[in-house]
Amino acid sequence: MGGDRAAFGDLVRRYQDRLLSAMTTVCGSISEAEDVVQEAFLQAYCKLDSFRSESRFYTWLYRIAFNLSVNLKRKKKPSVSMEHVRETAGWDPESQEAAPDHGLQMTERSQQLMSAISRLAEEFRQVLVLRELEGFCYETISEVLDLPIGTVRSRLHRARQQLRDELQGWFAE
Amino acid sequence: MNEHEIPTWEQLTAYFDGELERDERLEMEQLLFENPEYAQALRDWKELRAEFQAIPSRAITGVEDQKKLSQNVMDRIFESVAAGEVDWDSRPVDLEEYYRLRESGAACGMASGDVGASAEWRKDFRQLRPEQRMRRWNFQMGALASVAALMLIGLFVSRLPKQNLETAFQPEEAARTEADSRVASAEHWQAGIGDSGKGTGATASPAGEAGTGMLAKGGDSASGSLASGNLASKGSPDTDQVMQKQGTFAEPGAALRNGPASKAAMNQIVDGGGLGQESLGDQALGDQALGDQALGNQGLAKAGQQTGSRQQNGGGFVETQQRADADVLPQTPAVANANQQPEGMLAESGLQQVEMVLEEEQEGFVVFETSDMDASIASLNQVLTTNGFGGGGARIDLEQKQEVLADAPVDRQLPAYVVSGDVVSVAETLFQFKQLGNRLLFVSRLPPVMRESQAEVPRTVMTEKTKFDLIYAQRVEMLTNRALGPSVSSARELQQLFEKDVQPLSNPAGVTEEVMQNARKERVPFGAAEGVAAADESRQESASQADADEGSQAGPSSNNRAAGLKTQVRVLILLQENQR
Repeated sequence: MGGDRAAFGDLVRRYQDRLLSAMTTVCGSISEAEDVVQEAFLQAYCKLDSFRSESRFYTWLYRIAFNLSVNLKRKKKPSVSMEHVRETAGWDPESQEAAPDHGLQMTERSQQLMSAISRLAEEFRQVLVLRELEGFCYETISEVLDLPIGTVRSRLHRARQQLRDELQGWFAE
Repeated sequence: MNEHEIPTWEQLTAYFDGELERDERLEMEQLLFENPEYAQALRDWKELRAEFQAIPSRAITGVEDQKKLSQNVMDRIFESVAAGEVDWDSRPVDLEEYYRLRESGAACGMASGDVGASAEWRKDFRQLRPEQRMRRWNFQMGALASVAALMLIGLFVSRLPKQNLETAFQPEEAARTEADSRVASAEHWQAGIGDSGKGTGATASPAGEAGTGMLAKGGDSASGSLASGNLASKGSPDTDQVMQKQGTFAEPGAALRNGPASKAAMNQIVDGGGLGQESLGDQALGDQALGDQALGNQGLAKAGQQTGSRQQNGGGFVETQQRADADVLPQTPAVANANQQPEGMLAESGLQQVEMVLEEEQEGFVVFETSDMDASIASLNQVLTTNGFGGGGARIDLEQKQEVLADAPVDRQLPAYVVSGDVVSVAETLFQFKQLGNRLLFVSRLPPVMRESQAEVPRTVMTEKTKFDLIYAQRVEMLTNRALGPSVSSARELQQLFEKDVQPLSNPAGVTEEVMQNARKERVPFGAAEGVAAADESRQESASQADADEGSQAGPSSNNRAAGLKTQVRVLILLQENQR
């Protein structure tokens, strides 16, 4: 088992940042995202034999994590409040101030963007994160979210439009 | 923006993401030129995207947090293992199941090969003369008649007194037939007649022969019901599932599925004669169903020689040599050949399979295993000529991969090519023969994993996707088996073995850069051709080891170890792929 551990440890180290970043945006909280990421890696390890080479490992892992985050949210309804995000993530989505911790050196515009994203409906936020932060193509997004490609496209459009409306001030400058 | 414009806006989104086809893209560019509102939206989205990308990806957690997280993950994993939450036994890696699942993806796994050649061949096919099409139709009708015959046989068998079935075989004969049955399970491309007559000295009546000849055809056919006919006569463990899934011969099949008993019943029926006549009714139909009488006879005669049965050839019986080694276990070349598809049948039903592939416009290769390349080529050519194609397969020898590519008689009008070599070699060089998409491939040896999959899927269409899957599955299996051998006793040794054996994707067959990129995208490592022989060898070693383990009552721990190793091999493959 030692070899398993070392080898899988490499995989964890390779993907944990990326997954944690994505899940923080999806979950709206770092602590929740950490739980989700840990659980996702555990499940990935246990289900490694069900991994089919037809998708990328990260896509597969992401899907596990994403499903976990959805389940977590279902259990924790009502969904994450801004207060909660403030407390757990260490930054205020509605505030213009920089986050105090975690090495966050985000620009003001980045914070505004994160804040605007957090106000999007979850279904829109999901596709936007997958497209803009993860760089997934429509097909992969549809695979991860189990949605038709047409729906992915439609949601992406609405997400972008809402974001554009929210940040209208940027574009007028 | 009004409601009617929404699809256009969504199109714009897709355009922005590079998800439009060329035509749509051009259309959208025209719209962008004409409509400043769209152009402005596009600029805004670009700005948003730039801002997304400016978000520091590592901003959320610090270095210490990263370490802590990975430590937590690993701790949790091994706590779970220690607590028995990860039960290796409950998730054994079952290659058969693996491949079965993969097969469902095969149909949609489109190769990106040159479709021009396929289109030409398809066009030719559709331009067949009416009488040629009628011949095909008759063939299919004949096949249906054979199914009906099988059902009647099954019904008849199910009503036979059980005692008759039990006494039909003497003990030594039963033992021999059971061994036959094992071979039959292992060999997929097997004619019904090769099974029913094998080693029993059965005499086929004219009508019965026609019926069994049809079975031989049916065994190779792409038709699900025909495949059932083949499986029904095999007595393979997979048969039950297939029969149940297909809902064919539910009850009669139960009688036929029982290996020796079914053979006895078949022989009794055949000896009794008349049933084939009754079920087929029309001898002419039988003749037509055989397609080319000469081919049919060739196939039957071949089977007869191999099985020591008496078969009718044209106007009279041909007394064939009784098997001298009747008491020897049937793992002899003669019996192995008998388990292969009779060549004449193979070619024609192969053509039918290609036809189906073409009709479905699938890209891929229909793969057949054959023990006699030359006979396959000859009979295939004959069938193709009969069907107006004026020629057939060309042989491509993988031993001369590069040379062959340079000089290959790659005539796009040819519907079939014959590739000798094991299927892994074929797979590794398949890209080279991309322009031969929608062609038949004959391989001299089909690996068990593929053969097993064919027990479930009547035909195997080998696409780029299935090729990768196959290589991946074989590599995992081979490495695991090797690691189970005495030479590897630790994870470190496994890793060394892996590093030594699994080369990063190289370019052994002179594949194009595009292909290399695809391969990397698929992340399936393959390098030096290790072939099936090594896998088989190690599998046998592994089996011997397993037997030894069983003898020492160490089976469960061995299973655990195998499952653990398999997982580890997968992790190593992933790691190697990610390092690339």
